Amino acid sequence: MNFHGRTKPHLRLTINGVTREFLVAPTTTLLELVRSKLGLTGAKRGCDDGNCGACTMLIDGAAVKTCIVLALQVQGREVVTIEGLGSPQQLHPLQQAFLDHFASQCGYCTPGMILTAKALLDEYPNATEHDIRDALHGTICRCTGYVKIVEAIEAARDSRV
Amino acid sequence: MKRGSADLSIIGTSVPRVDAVNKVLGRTKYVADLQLEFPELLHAAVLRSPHAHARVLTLDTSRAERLPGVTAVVTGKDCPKTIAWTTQRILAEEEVIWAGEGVAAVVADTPEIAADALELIQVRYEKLPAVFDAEEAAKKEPPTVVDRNLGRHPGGPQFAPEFPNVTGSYELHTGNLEQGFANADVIVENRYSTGRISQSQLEPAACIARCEPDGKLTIWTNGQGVHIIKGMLSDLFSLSHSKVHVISPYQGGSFGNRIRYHQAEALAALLALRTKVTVALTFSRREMYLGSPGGLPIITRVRTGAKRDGTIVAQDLDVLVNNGASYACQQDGRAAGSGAICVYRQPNVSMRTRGVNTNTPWAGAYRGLGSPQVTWAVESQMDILAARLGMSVVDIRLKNILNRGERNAYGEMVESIGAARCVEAVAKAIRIDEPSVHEAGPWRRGKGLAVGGKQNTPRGRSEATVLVHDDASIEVRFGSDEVGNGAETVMTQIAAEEFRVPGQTVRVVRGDSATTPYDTYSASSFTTYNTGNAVRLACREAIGIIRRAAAPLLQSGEHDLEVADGCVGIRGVPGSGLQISDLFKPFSLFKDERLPELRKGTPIIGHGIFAPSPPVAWDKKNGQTPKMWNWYQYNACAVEIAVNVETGEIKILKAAVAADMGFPINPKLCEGQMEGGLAMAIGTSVMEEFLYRDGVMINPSFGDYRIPTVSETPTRENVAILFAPDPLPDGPWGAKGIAEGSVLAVGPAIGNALYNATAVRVYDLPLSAERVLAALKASAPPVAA
Repeated sequence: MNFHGRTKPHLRLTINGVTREFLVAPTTTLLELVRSKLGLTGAKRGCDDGNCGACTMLIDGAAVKTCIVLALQVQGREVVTIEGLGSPQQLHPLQQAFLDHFASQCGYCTPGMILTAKALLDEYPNATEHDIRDALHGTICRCTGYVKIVEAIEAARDSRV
Repeated sequence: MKRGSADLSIIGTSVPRVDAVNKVLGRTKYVADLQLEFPELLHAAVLRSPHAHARVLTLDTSRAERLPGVTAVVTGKDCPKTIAWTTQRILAEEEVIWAGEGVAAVVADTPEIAADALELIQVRYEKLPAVFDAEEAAKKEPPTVVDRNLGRHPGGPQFAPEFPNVTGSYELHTGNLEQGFANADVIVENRYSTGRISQSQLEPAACIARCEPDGKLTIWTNGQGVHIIKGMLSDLFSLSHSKVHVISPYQGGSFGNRIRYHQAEALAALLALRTKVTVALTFSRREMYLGSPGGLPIITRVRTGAKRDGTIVAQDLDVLVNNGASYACQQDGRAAGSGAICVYRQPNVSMRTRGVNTNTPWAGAYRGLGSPQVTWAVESQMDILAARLGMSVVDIRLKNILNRGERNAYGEMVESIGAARCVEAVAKAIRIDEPSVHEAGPWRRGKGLAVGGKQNTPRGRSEATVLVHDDASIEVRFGSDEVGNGAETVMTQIAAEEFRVPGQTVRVVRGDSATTPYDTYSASSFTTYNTGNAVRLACREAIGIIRRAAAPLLQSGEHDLEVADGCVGIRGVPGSGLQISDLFKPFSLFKDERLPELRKGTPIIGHGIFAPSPPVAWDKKNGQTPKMWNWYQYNACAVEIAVNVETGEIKILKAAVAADMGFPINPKLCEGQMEGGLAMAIGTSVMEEFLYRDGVMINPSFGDYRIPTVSETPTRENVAILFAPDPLPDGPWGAKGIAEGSVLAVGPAIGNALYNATAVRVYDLPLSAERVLAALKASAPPVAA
């Protein structure tokens, strides 16, 4: 059975504070929808099976790997992508911390790392290094060895006081 | 004029990365992100062989071609013949030689239709005998020949017809090996091996290829070396250089995977040229394992003789490099062998290196280019000798490490070597002489250290262009890569230092074959050295033009002038400066005047070319030469580990890494390379390995080829990063390179720590839990009845 271009149910969700409506094929992932229909390319494809976290977005505040989430599964939800965080004039504290602490090298994992950290700190403002490591262990970085990523998140945590 | 410490204003300072703001905002564009800019875009997909070695009996693409939405299907017969030594063949024709080799490619309206089309291609294969083991493949009559063309220079004979899978060999003979062993008090002989690994950088390979109506080809790619790729495509498709344009936006890591990656660009170009539209080719993660060049498994047999006082008096090495089914990054294994030659004094050494093909996925450049694998062997031997001689693991190394001014076993003069201070630094940080604290339960702790060196391949010239605009802003143009290595930031710092301006005054334009001058790719850790030196030369040419223009206005000789802070003035005369922007004269439309040398709207252009002095061909009899490679970077690592004697699992509790990078241009970026290399090498030492069934990789995903998460690395306070630089005479401010050093010594440090913890030695990487547990069980004393 070929779904491509045939049945396209209606989807309504909020992305970065703006409510939008789409007709999507049932097989479309949230990652594909956001990247191709909205041109928000901050979330990346890294591994195809939910292991690396480069595709992370926040769904109702929780960090979720969107390459394995069908767009129709987030009917009515609130989605935040990296583009919804900060601006060139005013970086989000996590973005500023990643910059100040050299936590980004090739940059491919950076949006996913920042959003995962945001979900953690929003829920646990006093997260310890142990909590941070626990929260990040599903998001892979091959460049940095994680040291400066953890350092940046701890600095962002401390700057919120 | 502002001056920083040691008369440097920005070199040696940890300035923030110039590309970091866009990266944290998620605005940085990688190749796949550009797809939306092409409304006409079509998508490619590749059908790959399920067999490690097979004849292609029939290949029927007709049903795929008829699928609505499919524009074209190509097979091996549609591909131009590739040139051995430059490009992996694009698609197989009569025979497939590894499981994952491409046999056909489709172009369709969407990735889904392309995937459907692959399923409609009908292929009948006849399975052939295959060889996976490097030692079996290297024999006189191997189980099968992978491909008779692989060991052949274009139009030339096969390298070793008697050993049809061996593609090249190198031999070094220095001193008198027999005499050396006769004088040894202790001799140790072992066989070491390493597994097949993947760089696993996060961004998969991707190209977008567009063919214009006039036949001009433009390729956006995350492959490395826009000029190298352009040259390859021009040759392959007989296109004039003026018709080929290669652009590389930001690249999501590489670690060598994107070098010699040209198979992907060649296929994308072929598809674009045939369909005359824009085609996107993006690899899946699975394809990154099956169809892109991973890291070499290497078998090292080594026999080492030492005197009672620890002096190494003889070493005999055989290094066998498994290139998979490829045209070989290391035809002769010579680069890997260099790891055994660049650290220690070796008065009597024999080394034979060979490259061999097997029916496994093609292998290529991986961080360290084989030196980490050989260092695994050499550094395990050093600890074994230390134990036999009752010497400390530090003393035996310090006794044998080369000094500046000596010659290594190749015959090269050692110009810069920080290895000894690296060893001392990590030994102190981990307190190697203090035994680990023992705890109750199954975890045993132990400490170990190791040191290694990595050669730098002289790859010819880098060129750079520097523009000074009429507002005195500076633009640096260079053609190599930003894979995360920080090249754009370092070149910004270099230009800012030369012109004595803040970094924000400098802009970088990079990675475009039409607008940036010739350069090779960012490899062998040499971008800071090669491209950096070119940028310095370009800056100096531009500064010379400024001084020449200002000299008559300041009534001074050119050579008495200096440039800083956007001004040019007389050295030693404060307040004498002119604004550089004032030197650019407007040119009136209404007056007939001579063109001023510096004109508003026209930047000053300085150009720089740098090439290291070339290598000198080695003596055919003994392999010696005064210049085999360029310089060496050095690195030491010391770890404390805990190993679970019931499961074999190894945890890295503490790690110290020390690097000799010549001079740290940006200390924080250097730390980042070292922390990253440590984590990557932890992965290849204890976790990462291709697993096969019948030559088919059975773990081609991050779920099953596990690379380190934060949980596999030590906590922040347990990672010590140390600098022990020894300046390089012709490096920019003494800088060498740093990118590869930190993966050299981690594996043997862990292996040595395992021995320290359990008195059990494992000779094969990775030290997976299964392998360690088996070794522990094999050495356990029998249970009393």
